[in-house]
Amino acid sequence: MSLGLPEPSFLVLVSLADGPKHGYAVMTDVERVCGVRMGPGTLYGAIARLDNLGLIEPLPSEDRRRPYRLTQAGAAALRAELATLERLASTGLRRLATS
Amino acid sequence: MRWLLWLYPRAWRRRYGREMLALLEETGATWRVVLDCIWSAVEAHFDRELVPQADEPVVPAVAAATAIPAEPEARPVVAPRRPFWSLRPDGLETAIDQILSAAAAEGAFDNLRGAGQPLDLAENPFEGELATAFRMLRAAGETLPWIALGREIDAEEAQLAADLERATERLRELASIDPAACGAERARARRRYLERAAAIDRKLAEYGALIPHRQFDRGRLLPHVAAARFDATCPPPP
Repeated sequence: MSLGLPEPSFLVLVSLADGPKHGYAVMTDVERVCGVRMGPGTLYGAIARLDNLGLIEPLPSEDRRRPYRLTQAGAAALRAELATLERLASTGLRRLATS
Repeated sequence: MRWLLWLYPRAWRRRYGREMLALLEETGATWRVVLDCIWSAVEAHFDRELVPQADEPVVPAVAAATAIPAEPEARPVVAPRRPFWSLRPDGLETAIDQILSAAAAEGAFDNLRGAGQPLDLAENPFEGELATAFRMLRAAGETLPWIALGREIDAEEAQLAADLERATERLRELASIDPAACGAERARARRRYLERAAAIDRKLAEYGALIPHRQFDRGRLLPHVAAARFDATCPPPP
């Protein structure tokens, strides 16, 4: 990936792509979409990394849970990552089909 | 379960502690969760990208109504994080400083052998079995590739900052002579700045892949951070 983001960070960006979510919602969304159950430490490691890079940002807390959303930079970074992955996937599938 | 949070750095706890505790209460504690948190806490102590840069206020409720902000967030440029060996509670550092100051005042460091003489920097007592390798590198005027690349990045970052100062000064002068030309000239300067910042960022990515340990990591100069730096030093004309 162009940003060199670790996989959990990438999954969090994908999870936030359709709107703001708090930690638990991200965790269940990632589990539903990818079948991967992220631990709370891994999840908050990814959230802290993306927050510091300015790719996501916190919204006002709902009770103790705080939702996050993509920033414009985060949306652009995710779009670039997904385009790279899409090229990679289509090339791989095409080559497998012809081999 | 609260004890798990005490494994994290203080700045991290202050920023994410409350919400992470809420999440831990929802997920429940299993061995897997505990191990995951321990590993993540260790990372938070050593990875500069995981430590909160400041107590940043959350987005106000009015701005939160829109899904994605229209303008990229101009993040404040913060001072580099302290190196990992000084990551200790401030009280402890202060106590050591006080002990050293008191000892110096009492003359404990007076009349030490070699006092007042310059250090012989060619002597490195920590070279050990690599002494020959280090001597050869020194004789050839070489250093390790990642250190050389780090110095190159230092020089280019300093040059970029100096050029930005000069460009800002030039634009200020131009504004008093020909305000109409200011906008186009600033846009050119901004484009050049961002191109050079992107080149430095590519080197930072390469540097990140070369370093022997994460403690030497210097992070990245992502486009939105570079743009915020330019705009903070050289704001658009009113």
